[in-house]
Amino acid sequence: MSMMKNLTKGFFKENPVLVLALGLCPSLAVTTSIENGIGMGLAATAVLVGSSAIVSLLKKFIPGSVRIPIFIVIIATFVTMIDLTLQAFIPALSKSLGLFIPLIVVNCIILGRAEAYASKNSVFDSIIDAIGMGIGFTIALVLISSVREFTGTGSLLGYPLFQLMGIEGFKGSIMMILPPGGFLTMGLILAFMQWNRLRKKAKEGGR
Amino acid sequence: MGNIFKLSAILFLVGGIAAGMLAFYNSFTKPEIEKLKAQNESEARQYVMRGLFQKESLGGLIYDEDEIEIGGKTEKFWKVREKESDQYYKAFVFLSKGQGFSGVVETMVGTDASFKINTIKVLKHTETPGLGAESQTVKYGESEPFFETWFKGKNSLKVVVEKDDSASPDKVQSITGATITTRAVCKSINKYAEAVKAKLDKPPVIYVDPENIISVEETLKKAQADSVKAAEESAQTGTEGNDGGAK
Amino acid sequence: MDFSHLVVIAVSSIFINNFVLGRFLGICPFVGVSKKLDSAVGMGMAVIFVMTLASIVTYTIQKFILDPYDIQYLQTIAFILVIASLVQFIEMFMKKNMPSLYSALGIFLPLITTNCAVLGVAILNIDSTWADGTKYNFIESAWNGFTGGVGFTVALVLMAGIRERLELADIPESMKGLPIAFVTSALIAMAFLGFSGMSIM
Repeated sequence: MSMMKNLTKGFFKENPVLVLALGLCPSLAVTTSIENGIGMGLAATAVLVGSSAIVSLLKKFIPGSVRIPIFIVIIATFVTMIDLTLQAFIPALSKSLGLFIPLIVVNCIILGRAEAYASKNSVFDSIIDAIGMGIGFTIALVLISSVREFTGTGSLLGYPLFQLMGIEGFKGSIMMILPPGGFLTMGLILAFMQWNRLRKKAKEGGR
Repeated sequence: MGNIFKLSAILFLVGGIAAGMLAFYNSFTKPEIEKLKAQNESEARQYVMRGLFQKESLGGLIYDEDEIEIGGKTEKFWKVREKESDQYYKAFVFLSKGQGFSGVVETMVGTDASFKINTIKVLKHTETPGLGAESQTVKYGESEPFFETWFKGKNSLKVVVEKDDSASPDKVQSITGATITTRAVCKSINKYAEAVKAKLDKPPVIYVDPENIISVEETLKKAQADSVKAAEESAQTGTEGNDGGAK
Repeated sequence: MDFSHLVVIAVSSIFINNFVLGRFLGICPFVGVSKKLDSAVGMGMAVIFVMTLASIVTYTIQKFILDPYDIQYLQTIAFILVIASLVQFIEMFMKKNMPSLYSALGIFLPLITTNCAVLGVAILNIDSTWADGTKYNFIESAWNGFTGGVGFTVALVLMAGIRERLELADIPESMKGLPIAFVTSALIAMAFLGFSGMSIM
């Protein structure tokens, strides 16, 4: 597989959240604003790249029967490092992501990639794969959070679009920021993905 | 059997290396985190003192640390002087904590010497995004969170949510859909201000009420008279009613 | 020991801040294992069991190892390892001594390691404070783990009941499977929002 293909497959074709339905907890919990979505996406990407690189580097030395605990230790080490870094240098983000930073450890995307890809491929390929998957995760988070922030507060990245255009009165529905909005947005986005898939399939079948 | 030892040795080694790396990394970030904490605290103190003092003297204010007892725990607060030679404290800063909707809400409160709120700053909360979390939201085009501006000029001892007492001059609106958060902030401010006042009303009293300036000697005399009276009363009833007096 | 604290914890983690519907913890098993009512009940029981034990063990580790030696930065790594080995241990113990229970819950146990509700409740137990600044004590932590598991089970069973019916419903092709599951959970979550008006302080 070419490098470019390896990188971009995570963006849409095998998007971890939207297609593979992995890592659902953070993609619902922290997507109340775009800023949080981007922050979470980048933090998870950093952990993913670091742990994939180390796992693939050590793949010859890790005995098969204890590989899962070792993967977990490696991932947890990176998560703690990211956690400490955020606390020290970006405290605002650390505060708003809160509990969900340590919970990156149990994000299925990361363990899944370590098990399914990094433990079988070269270091370089694993890093490219991890970057691709991380960006895919970030894209999904940004997509969900922009829908929720816009419908929930009527603003994007903190800018109230409607007020700026001179339309007063659109305040957004708080429901979309609250938990139900997360489920609803996720459901509708997944439905769209499925619809798209079915449509493509029908086209191919018709030919 | 040998396999078990080999596997556990490997696991142990990996765990040890991971812990060592984290300890190493922690030694870098820990001082940063503490520095940031201290810096945040001093910045928040300066923030809630804005407007009460001249802009130039804000950076050089003297914060004398003191302690209050709240629910069996000691908490600190600060008495503020402008310069070393000042005899009286002109303002107080305290950190009030109250149970909000889904966790503790921490608010830094700056008051003048008559316990009128200058500014508050919500420091920490775990409230719902879109509802209670609005307490920290700065609306577009405004310079400070709208929630904090509601508290300006209210009496910290009496500030109350509009829904609870609409006749009070010290009422504040509640955040839409988050009355519990607003009420938590009000109640915690009341509680902590009460405790600070109780502590300061004990001799020797050195703060000044801007509307009713009392000198140190006068307050001392008053406090002495009070304690004598309290002692007489307790002697009359025959109980050891010495709980610090001020309520 | 304040009994009212236990009531507050129970109501809060089952209804107001339900682990799944209010805190978004444990979404993966929530949508993954909610197709059949039987398996949902089994998974729920396994989660209650593991969450209670995990709360007890992680609280003990925090209080007697991490706090005294000032190595809180090892929290994440210590907790996840403890939970993983705890789950493994329970699985082996059940297989050997309680084969009937194992055949009912066994297949769900490995899934629980990566259930973020378990690690989530362990960290929440340590981080949560009461209004007066005191932390959860041992009993409160264990109780939080137990009621958190009950909250998870309630959500899971509700969901499974609805999804069993949905199998028979005529829904658009593109909504079938996960999308309709999420829309349904949105409606359940909306209903649970009603509890947030409860004032228990």
